[in-house]
Amino acid sequence: MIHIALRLIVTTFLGFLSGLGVGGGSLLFLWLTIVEGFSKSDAKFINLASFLPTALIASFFHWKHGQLHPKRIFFPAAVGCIAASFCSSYSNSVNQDLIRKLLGALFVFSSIKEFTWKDKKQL
Amino acid sequence: MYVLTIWRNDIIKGVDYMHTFLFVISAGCAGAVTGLMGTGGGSVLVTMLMFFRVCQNDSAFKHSISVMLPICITVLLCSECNFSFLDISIYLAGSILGGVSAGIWGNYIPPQYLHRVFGAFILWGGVRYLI
Repeated sequence: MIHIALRLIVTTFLGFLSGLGVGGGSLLFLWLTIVEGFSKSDAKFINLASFLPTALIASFFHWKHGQLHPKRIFFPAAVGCIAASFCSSYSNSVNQDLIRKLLGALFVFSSIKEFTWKDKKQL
Repeated sequence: MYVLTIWRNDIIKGVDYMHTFLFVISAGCAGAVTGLMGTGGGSVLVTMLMFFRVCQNDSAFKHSISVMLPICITVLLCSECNFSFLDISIYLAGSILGGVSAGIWGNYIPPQYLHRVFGAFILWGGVRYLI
């Protein structure tokens, strides 16, 4: 019972972060693999499945508040889906260590930008 | 004056086309990362949208969620399912509660805090990926 309550609290908190778009999915993946002991493929499935309701609800609220423009995201989302379906079929044959290193470098570089970010009007 | 107005409108249109192009490239990269690794696509998308200045301030976070939604559905459809709905229902319940909370209270969080929190997460994720 405590285990279920803990799961609910953790997933609610991570769902909140996912709804804000600040890396809740990556943390849930780590929680599932390190704490709950799921395999990477199972953790991937649960992580993606649990992102769906969060994203759906958060998107609805953002759209309702006029902060989201469906026309603007249609084409990028379509291209993202094509890339995702193509790459997921090759996910087992690609050197994932290299991708992890490249992503790591990108994230560290970006985090420096985020910490030095100042509120100003952009284009 | 008329020529100047047309010229100005063309420049604005050019900026819009460039932003759309960069948005598409960013979404393609996020889709590729999600397809390959099953995670990290959203972080890549937000990072690229901010780097290219495609979105204003916190709207990068909001647009990334909506773009990642169909991408996640696509990857799920391409993945093997070893679970029943009951197995993952507790995760779905938490995620619904989290999504509602973010939708209601997310707007009250100042953008600079979002940037700091996001920066902390991707720094941690980046170091973890590099080591």
